[in-house]
Amino acid sequence: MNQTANIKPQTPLGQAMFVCERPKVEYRGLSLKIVQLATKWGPIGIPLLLRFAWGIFFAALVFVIAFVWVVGRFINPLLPWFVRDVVVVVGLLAFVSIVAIIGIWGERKVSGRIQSRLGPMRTGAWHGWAQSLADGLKFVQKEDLIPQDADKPLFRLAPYVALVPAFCAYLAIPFGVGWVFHDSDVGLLFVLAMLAIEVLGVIMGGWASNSKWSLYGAMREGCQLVSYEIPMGLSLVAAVAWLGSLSLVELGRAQDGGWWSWLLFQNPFLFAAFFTYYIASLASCKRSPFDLPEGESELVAGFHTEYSGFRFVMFFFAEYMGMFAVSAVATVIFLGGWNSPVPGLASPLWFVIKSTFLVWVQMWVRWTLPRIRIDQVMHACVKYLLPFTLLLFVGSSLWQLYDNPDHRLFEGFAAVVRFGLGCLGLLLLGLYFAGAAYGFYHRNQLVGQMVRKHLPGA
Amino acid sequence: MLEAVIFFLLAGLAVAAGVAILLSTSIVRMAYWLITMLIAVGGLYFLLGAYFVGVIQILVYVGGVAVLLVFGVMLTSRQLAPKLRPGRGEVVWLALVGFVLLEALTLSILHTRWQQNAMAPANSVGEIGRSLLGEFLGPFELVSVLLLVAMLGAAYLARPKVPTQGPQHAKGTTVP
Amino acid sequence: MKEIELQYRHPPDLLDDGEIPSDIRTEELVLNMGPQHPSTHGVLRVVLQTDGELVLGATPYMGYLHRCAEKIAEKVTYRQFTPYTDRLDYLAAMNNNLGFALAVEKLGGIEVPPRADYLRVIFAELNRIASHLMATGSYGLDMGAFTPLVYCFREREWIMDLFEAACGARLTYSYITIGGVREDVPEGWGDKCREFLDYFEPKIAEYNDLLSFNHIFINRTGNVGICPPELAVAYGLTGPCLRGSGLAWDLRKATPYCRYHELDFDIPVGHGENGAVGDCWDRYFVRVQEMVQSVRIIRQALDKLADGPVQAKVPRVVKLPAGEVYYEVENPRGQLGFHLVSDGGTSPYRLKIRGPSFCNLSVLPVLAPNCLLADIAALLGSIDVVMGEVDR
Repeated sequence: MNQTANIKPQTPLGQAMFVCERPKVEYRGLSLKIVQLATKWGPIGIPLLLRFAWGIFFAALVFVIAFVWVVGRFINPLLPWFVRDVVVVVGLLAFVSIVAIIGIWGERKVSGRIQSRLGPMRTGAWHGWAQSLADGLKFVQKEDLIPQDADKPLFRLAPYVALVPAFCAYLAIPFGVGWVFHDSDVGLLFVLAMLAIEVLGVIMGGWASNSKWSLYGAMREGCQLVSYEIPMGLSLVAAVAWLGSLSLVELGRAQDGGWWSWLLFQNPFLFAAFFTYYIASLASCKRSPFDLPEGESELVAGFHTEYSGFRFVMFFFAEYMGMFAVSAVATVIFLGGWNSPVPGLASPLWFVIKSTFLVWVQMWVRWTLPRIRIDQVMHACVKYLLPFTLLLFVGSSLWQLYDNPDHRLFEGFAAVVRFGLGCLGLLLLGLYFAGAAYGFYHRNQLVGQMVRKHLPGA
Repeated sequence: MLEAVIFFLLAGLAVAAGVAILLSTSIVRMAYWLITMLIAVGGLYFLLGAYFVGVIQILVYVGGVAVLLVFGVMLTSRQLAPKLRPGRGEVVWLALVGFVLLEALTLSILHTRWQQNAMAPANSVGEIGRSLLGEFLGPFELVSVLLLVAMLGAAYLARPKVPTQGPQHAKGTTVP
Repeated sequence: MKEIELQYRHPPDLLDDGEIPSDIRTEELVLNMGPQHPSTHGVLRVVLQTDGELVLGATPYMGYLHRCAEKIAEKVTYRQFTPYTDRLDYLAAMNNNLGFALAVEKLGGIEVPPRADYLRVIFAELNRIASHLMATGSYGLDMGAFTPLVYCFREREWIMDLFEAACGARLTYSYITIGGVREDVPEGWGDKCREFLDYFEPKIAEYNDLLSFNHIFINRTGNVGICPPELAVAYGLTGPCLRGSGLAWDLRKATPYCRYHELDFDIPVGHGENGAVGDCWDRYFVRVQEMVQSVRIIRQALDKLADGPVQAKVPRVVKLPAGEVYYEVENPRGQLGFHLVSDGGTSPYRLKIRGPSFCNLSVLPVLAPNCLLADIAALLGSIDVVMGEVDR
């Protein structure tokens, strides 16, 4: 209202001529400083940065690895515990930020390749690796708009409520034996609880925006998440009951010794539970085909329609951190966590590779499937997924009851099934790699002559 | 020392949020203050070493109950959202009920023999599971029946209100 | 507390049937979809009355892209109006040019040479493919599948290249003019066109695998927005919307123009494979099948293309005898009609355009009630309106 009042001319001359002035927009915060700095140093700095992008990238990588190693090996044991905690939390924060940044860039590259495009190619010299950073810079410069009739405190708070729990989930996720911030005996439940709080931020933002589209997004998020938490939890309970622990470190450690000892291949019920968990986790991270809360063809942008600038980025970060977090849980529980496919090579690297693979599958699914309608989402959960996961839980428990030396016949049968499942897993992986290799070999054919003609290098 | 600081922080937050629930007039704000309080209480459980109870507090109350609460409250129109102000007659008996409740709680707190060094049992998850399915099986099952009744009631209320004609898919749709 | 009068769509006493207590009854939400909305395909504004996700009513509002095309026609000469027809249905500019040219030629009694006729058929059908590619691709986008859109654009790009080679423009061609086509296609154009057809035909099966027979897609579009044949006829639906309701009506067969009677093709209609006849999936799939038929037509027309002039002898400033004519052609979106009234001058006395999108859009308020919110996107996409033609 104030701004419309400003349009009315104040001076007598202005009143006489009715000069219609545009209301002045106040740019606040960090943005102005960054713009000033960028205009001052950008012409020198950015070309230099681009010229040495490769070198900077690798130097940063080497530096980060060396830093982590040195801190972990020498410095951390000397520090008092609370300083150590701060160091580890900062390290985790850096890790999840990198996950989000690489995730956003990766999503664009993946979508580009799937759609016979190239994705970002310019920013940062090598396949647009700096695109997310550039986008981040852009978002920081944007004005932090808040709709006039929004519930301002809640509107401001919502992105934090989404982002902070998504980060907190990482506090309990083990990257390896000893590579965990806090090894709690209820680590799994802690991760799920944190992911559940994340919903609140989305609902808060959707309601506080005072936009009907945001409200619809928040409503969908609410009912979708509350429903899908149940099959998600039940699939995990089947696994937890099999190993008898809620501690993620214990769960990971129990799967030591080669791919055949991963929980996924222990019995057919757990094999199916992995897939039900994965489907439910897609819904809980709002990923396609369950991306109804932000379905852009229906709800413009859903719960973050009214958000701009860095608050929007925070929602984005929360989404990618959540994606990696649910994949990490799936990795630890079903895919053997940090254990290598062949015994004796356990390393956090395996954990990151497996989780990244699951994140990539999420992207793959997103750019392939259409979106489900809200009633179908509910039906799929209540009518199919929920009874099925209950069945899996009961089946897995019964299997465990009979799979022991007291029942010789069943034990033999179980061993055969386990072997078969292991082979099936290998076959699936082999098929995936064969398909990927075929696609890579034939990508020119897939892309089509039209694109080849215009982009000789593609 | 640090634990005391954290305790007072969390306890203060819980109390402040509780007072804020009483004082705020917007129903959505109230819901969010309630959530703040629930999280703070969950933090207190963590501080006591009862990780399981703390996590379940957050998972069930914040992730489930509170989300549903906000979800329900959210559907009320923003412009038409009732500002909750008790009438003059209501104040009297509200005060009465509040006083009785306060008195009951205070008396029960004062007359309970508090155990010193209350710590959660070592294997809390297993203990809780055993006692739920052993000692307290009856109440546990009763609560399940109660929840089932509540669910059926909710499903009855949420059935489609607008009659649908023709073979439209919307028949039988539960409108969220 | 401020009392606010609640507006109920159903009066309270009607709803209060003793089952739902009046104090827990919910009110309706009026949702303003558009004119800036990703799935309204332009500047369409639809006001939705919703109860939760359930849509109780939809009212389309238009006029945001009104450019007075019909009034402009009265001020410019016949030749000068051709570029304005490009901008009606900007995704099928060739077909619009064809419709206007045919209307003028009928009133003026102008004979078009056979090569020009075949070229017109080829270009109209190529543009039909391009337009249907756009429609099917963006329909996938409406359903949340991004990738088919990009694939469809990839193929459409090739058609744009072919058009560019022939007339230099990629969107607004003004290529089919009064008396024929503006100029002959360059040498080797036919081979390029055949190359495209060979490339394109197997791709249609690919889209079917990717989108048309996708389980989720079928669930989203089958049994949604059912338009029975009687309703379709009553609301004057034409084009794929009419054929999707199971009626085999196509002007290229019914009242053949150009050389369509010499060419062999089928009229695809909706059979209700995945739901009732006339649902969104049928309308969508009719478009996919029409692309196959268009490829057939173009192949035949390319075979029959013989050397010859491409322009009849028409003076620079066309003067038509006094009289009136109404001419309809089959556009990708339906029947595009030009009602041309001439008083013997160099410009039309009155030109009325029947835009198929406008008539197709009129059925939206009938189909929309009792859909879910997401189905509105499905409905709008399956009706496939182009706002340039709705508003003119």
